[in-house]
Amino acid sequence: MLRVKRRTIVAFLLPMLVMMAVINLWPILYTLYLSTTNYSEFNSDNYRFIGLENYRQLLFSLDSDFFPVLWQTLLYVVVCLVCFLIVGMLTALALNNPRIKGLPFWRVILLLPWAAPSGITALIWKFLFQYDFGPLNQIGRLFFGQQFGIPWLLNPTLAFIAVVIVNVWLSYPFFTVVILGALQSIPGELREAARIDGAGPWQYFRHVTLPLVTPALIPAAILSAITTFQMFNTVFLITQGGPVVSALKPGATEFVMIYMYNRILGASVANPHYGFIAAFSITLFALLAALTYLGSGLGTRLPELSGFREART
Amino acid sequence: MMQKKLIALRTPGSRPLLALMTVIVIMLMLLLAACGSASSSNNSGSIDYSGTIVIWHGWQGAYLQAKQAIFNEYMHLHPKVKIVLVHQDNIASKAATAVKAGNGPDIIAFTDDNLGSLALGHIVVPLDQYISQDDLNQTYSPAAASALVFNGHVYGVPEAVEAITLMYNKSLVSADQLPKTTDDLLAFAKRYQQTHPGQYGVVWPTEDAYFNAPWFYGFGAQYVTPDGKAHLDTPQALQAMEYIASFRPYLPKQPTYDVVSSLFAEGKAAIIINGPWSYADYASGGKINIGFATLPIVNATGTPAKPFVGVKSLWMAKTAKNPALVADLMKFYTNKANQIAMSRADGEIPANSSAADDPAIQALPAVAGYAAQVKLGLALPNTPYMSALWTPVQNALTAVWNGTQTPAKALSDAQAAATKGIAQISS
Repeated sequence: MLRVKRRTIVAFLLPMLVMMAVINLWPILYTLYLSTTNYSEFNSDNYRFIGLENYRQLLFSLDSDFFPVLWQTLLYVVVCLVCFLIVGMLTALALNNPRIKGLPFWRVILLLPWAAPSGITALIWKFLFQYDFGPLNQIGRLFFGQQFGIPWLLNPTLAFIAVVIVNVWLSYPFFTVVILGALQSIPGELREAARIDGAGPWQYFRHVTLPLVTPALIPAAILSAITTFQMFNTVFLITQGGPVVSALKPGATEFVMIYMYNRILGASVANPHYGFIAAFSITLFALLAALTYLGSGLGTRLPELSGFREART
Repeated sequence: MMQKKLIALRTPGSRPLLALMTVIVIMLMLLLAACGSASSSNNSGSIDYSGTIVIWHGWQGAYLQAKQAIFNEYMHLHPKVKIVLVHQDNIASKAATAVKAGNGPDIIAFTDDNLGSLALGHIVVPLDQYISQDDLNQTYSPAAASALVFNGHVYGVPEAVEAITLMYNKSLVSADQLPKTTDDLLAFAKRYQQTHPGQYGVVWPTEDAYFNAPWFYGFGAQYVTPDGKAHLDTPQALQAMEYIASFRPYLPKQPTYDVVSSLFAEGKAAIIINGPWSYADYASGGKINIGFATLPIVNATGTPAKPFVGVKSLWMAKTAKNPALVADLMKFYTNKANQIAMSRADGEIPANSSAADDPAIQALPAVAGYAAQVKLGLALPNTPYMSALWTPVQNALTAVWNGTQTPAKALSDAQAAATKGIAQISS
């Protein structure tokens, strides 16, 4: 057996560790430090340590935007995920059906949204949703007269629905691919066995397909939940976090990332309080880390699923 | 076995790592400390006509060419002086970083509303010993002169001014049909829509704080005073907001700048309220025959609507190496002859008042049109507190225009948000 001194190993790892420290660790530690100061644009020369004051303001002050923003972000994540799963499952089941003609064509069409750059997609949707001249409302006016108009991006609820639609349109192909892969690995004998046992299509789906697809879905869902939680570009390009309901409240689609951006770099932010925003992002980091940890446990610990996996191997 | 080895590896290995981390942290801190130690020395007296002057600017195209010609002439007069023009985006924030690091420019060219925060951050420094307030008042138009003074100090010179005014499509509306008062304007918008379905009488971005300042200030309200008090909860502000809201049936529901601008460009809107930057887009190729008029008189107060006058300014940065030369260049750049030449070349409205009154300039219809409006406007506030107002005012306008809030509620929320923002600036 080749024997290497630990020191040699460390020497070889050192360049990479330095890179990690400078690129990954330093910004995180610096943000952690910032979150305990009152650093802002105008007092960058004489800021000071203020302990956990930023966190107190964030979590316990009455006019804090933290909980409303977090709540609407979580709602967005849940709604999007449910839609991803439903649309992804339906499209995957359809693509998995050998009786459909021109399958390669449909596959390309259904996966196309995934290939389109999200920024451009978002801008196209923004135009589609425009109230006065957007195609959606223009088409509506052909049928319902000049007065017709759905205030897609003007009404808080509709704007929320609009950004859900766009995100689903952009992301469902990922689930289609994942589910399709899982579907195709289901052995044909299972279907036969189920049929002999007298299972109908729904029972087959409920008791054979779904349990076998779920293990593949859980990591995809966790991954998606995190990206959706941190969603920035698509939603920002469409609504900038609006529509505004009041100067004192965050906009109806102002999710965490957009909220932070609007408070630091937004078009006309008065005096960016870097310390406060750092506290905000550290809190979110802790929250996401906890959710991910819980989520990753979910994928491996469900007993009946691992039972299935063992049975198959 | 494997487990044991891993653990054994980790403990001694962490000591060099820890040392390394400490070194990195110390190095970064030294770097940060170095950033704060830049300083400049002032030497007054006779001017040393030598060295390099770096100007950070946002000029492009015809603007840049016109200005470059003036700087070339200065270099021709003083062969030892070299002027370097550097184009920058986000000038204010970049200058803040660069000047603190000691490698900023000598001159920063930007709009006056950034002066307050740059001056408070010691990014730009006063020029009082070279240019006095009296010099400013004698040479430049009143709004332009006032925009260069902050906390009683002079920080540079104004080069050009701009303000939004009433621009109309001469083939859709004639000069005698133009609304003279705010009530006329509302009636005109209503009438025009009845006679031209699907088109608009007057358009402007109704959710934007800058584009609606004429109404607020015309009705006697103000956004913020230099002492850092927001004034959005006044009865005058409410009147202005209600006036703006009364246009809701006669304008698009989502009147963003792009939407209203293309409506006017396509001939679907008779009047637009817009500024000099838009003129070339509409007029080029003889697409639209544009006429100019000043904004209407507010019926409630009898005073004309007062737009913000944006003052394009040149300030001296803290990193300037030769302040006397910088001041001399600034004076040369904005003297009457050069201002006339610049205006004729790029169509900007000169800040130098004798240049603006010159017949050669008055003969240019666009320049004369905007210049007439500038006289009625007031300088874009250069107090840093103004930056706390843009978003709340815009949010209030949006909430009212969307119909989610009443004018009174929207303004009281905006007042609270602005007060909070101002408190954050001074904290």
